[in-house]
Amino acid sequence: MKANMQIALLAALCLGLALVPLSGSTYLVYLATQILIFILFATSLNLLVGYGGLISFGHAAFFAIGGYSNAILLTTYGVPVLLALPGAMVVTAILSAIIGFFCVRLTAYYFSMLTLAFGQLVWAVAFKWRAVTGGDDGFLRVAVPEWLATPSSFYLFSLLVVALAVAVLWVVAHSPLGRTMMAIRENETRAGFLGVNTRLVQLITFTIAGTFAGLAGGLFSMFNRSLFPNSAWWLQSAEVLIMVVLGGIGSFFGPMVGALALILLNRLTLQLTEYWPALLAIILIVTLFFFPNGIAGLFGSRPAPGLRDERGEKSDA
Amino acid sequence: MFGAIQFLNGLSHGLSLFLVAAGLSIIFGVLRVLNFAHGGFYMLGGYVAYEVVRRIGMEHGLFWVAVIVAGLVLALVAAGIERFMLRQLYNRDQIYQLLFTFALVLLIGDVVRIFWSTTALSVSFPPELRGAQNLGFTIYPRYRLFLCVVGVVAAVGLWLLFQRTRWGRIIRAATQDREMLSSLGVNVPMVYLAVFAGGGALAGISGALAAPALALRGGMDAEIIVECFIVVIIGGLGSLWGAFIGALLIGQLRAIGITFVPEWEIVLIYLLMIVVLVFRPWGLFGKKQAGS
Amino acid sequence: MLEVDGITKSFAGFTAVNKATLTVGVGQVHAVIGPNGAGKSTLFNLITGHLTADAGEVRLEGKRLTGLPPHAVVRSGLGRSFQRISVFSKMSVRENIQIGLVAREREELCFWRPLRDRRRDTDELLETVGLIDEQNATAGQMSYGKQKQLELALALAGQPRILLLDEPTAGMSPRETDECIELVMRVVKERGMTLLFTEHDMNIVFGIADRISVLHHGEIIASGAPEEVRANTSVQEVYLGRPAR
Repeated sequence: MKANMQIALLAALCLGLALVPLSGSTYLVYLATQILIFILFATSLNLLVGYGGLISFGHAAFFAIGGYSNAILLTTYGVPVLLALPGAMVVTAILSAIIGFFCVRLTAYYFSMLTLAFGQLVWAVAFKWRAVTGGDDGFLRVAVPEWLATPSSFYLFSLLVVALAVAVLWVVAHSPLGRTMMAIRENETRAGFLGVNTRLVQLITFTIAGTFAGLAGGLFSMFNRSLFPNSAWWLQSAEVLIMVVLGGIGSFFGPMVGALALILLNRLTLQLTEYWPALLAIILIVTLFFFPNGIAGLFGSRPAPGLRDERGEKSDA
Repeated sequence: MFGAIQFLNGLSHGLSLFLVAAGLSIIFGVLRVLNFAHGGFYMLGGYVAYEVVRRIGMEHGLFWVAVIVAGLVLALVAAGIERFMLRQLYNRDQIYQLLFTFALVLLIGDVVRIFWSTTALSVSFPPELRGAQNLGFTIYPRYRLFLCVVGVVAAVGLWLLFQRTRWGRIIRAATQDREMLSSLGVNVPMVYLAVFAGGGALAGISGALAAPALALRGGMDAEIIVECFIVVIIGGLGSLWGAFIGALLIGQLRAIGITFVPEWEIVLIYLLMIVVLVFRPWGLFGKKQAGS
Repeated sequence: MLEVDGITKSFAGFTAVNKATLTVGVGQVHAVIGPNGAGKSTLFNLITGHLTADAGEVRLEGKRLTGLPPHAVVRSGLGRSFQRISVFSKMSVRENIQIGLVAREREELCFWRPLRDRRRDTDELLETVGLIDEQNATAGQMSYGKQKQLELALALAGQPRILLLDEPTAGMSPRETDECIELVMRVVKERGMTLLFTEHDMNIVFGIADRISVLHHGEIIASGAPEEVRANTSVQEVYLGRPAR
């Protein structure tokens, strides 16, 4: 019942969003496209952070891998976009499974260190592998097909892709896998002694999260028509992580609001200050200390099970 | 040809890296906080030293004043952070501590940008350590030799601190079993404060000492923290001896990489990390922990 | 059914369990007793692989368990409880059970469809342990006794052939204890399970156990039918010298 309501509300929202190009404002369409892409990016990360309690500091790596793969398939090999995007997802899935294999083996601390380290490795490769990525000059002139060339058509395409992808992620979050991730976060020992293969659950979740970040990156490469190594840099990972935390860890829709809020804030402050990272840091610190459940928490959303309370002890038996 | 110079380069890099990684590892061992801002502390130490040198110069041993000031400033900064902010997060889920220290990385990065802009800055070598030393088998820059000596002295000093003093015993006890701390009748919040401040000072001093050897620039914080992470992953998180071996290994590997696969030397380091993770997931000197 | 063969574990020079050997036959109710600090919990954690043994081996129906990760141990047909309550305390009782059922059906990797309700199986398990009225309560906020019941339900969720209960009645009032034991024995009989448990209450142990092993300073000093164990002089020494709580 509640789920049906949510779905109906979202369908209405999507229809409403499809009307944005009618406003006639290219800027608005452009901004809305960017927000959509980051909504997908943040929602994919939320699967790890919100449901699994695994803080990835290198999620941008998969955004960049998807972006470069898509750009290379489109531009270098002339693959049509409806094959290039899925192709980019496959590439990202394979690489996230490999990287994830190392990241989920040990504790959550190792997970955080390793995601940051591998994120920086992807950045270094994008930076130095000039022949393929263009290095720090960037991958320029991404071949966007004719039918996606106008801002409006690309916006509508992105809306469709993001809506479908978010729907898939919703199913994943509410699937046995998603529920088991929450159980592992809360009490890994117990989950293991129920017969759950905890590492494998985490690895598959990691791979799914990476794959959808890759899809967001693929869209982004067409949106920007270029891609730079910076898209894998840890600051990019930080930004999307802050979107998730600001929106509300563990609430499915919170991070979408977080993405919206952060991008709008970025636009607003672009002229006022060049110290965006410091602003991000302050937002993050204020969120952590004063409303740990983020924007979603302000509206009474239930925090994810397994997050330790103010004084509660997490069971470690 | 990989020769004495490359070996010494690797050694001085490795020993400098050890100083930073040791602080990270000790803080984790005692507080169970993975301090992402450790690279930021290191960078800030370098810039503080630059600022002091800019104001008072570096003749007549004044460079050493700059190094000490950098250590003190970072100890104070770290103490303030622990006392007024981090402390409130100990009872919360570990993800809040992780995110908090990560926010500090962003903040420190911008503080540096605000005060010193983004252009690369350099500190010249202190006059008493300029030039090169003839070692018989090769000629080598004095300052880098000095860094090797500092690294060895620091390693021995830390070892003595841990093995021979009451403080060292407390810290070792805390690393093995945190609940034991309060039963030892120790003022636990004080220990946490001191360890975090001490780790900060170590990072600040390392940054200050590194300033003449490499250019100060934004982004060095991320570089060093990733290298530190790789060091503790290879050596074993929370193990000082592991950090020492890990740092030396990485120093040598870097030197080899720069000689044979320039530009891609970083990949070699990751390969070493992956090999360790496959065969000894808890690191060369780490302890397997329960529940996994 | 279950064979423990010379299992040994030391912590920092202190030997917690030393060459413990015991055999549990099919359908038996086997108790491990011993004074506090004798190593009962450690032995339990070694058998289930929660701790890694320094030496020795555990076999379940001839299959080696030693070295297997927890999920593989459980899938071999073993269910366990913890002495310190270990449930998903922020989730509802029903959600707790559902995780157990997902794991039993090996559905934890299924990400392509929403979680099924499994109403029938969940209700059945809830009724078995008497938690049907608390199904929507948050697990961590229930009384201690109720949480212990949930702990038992989770141990049962995987339909194990052998059940290992670590101090199932620890911290319970006499009435709760009686109810708990009655419940455990009923389920064990109904399902034809083998039971291995640790317990400090001697009345319970001698009331229900077919076989008893006595652990002292990490070593098994006696093993056998209740009468044999009761007559054993070294056991008497241990319990007279330092009586059980």
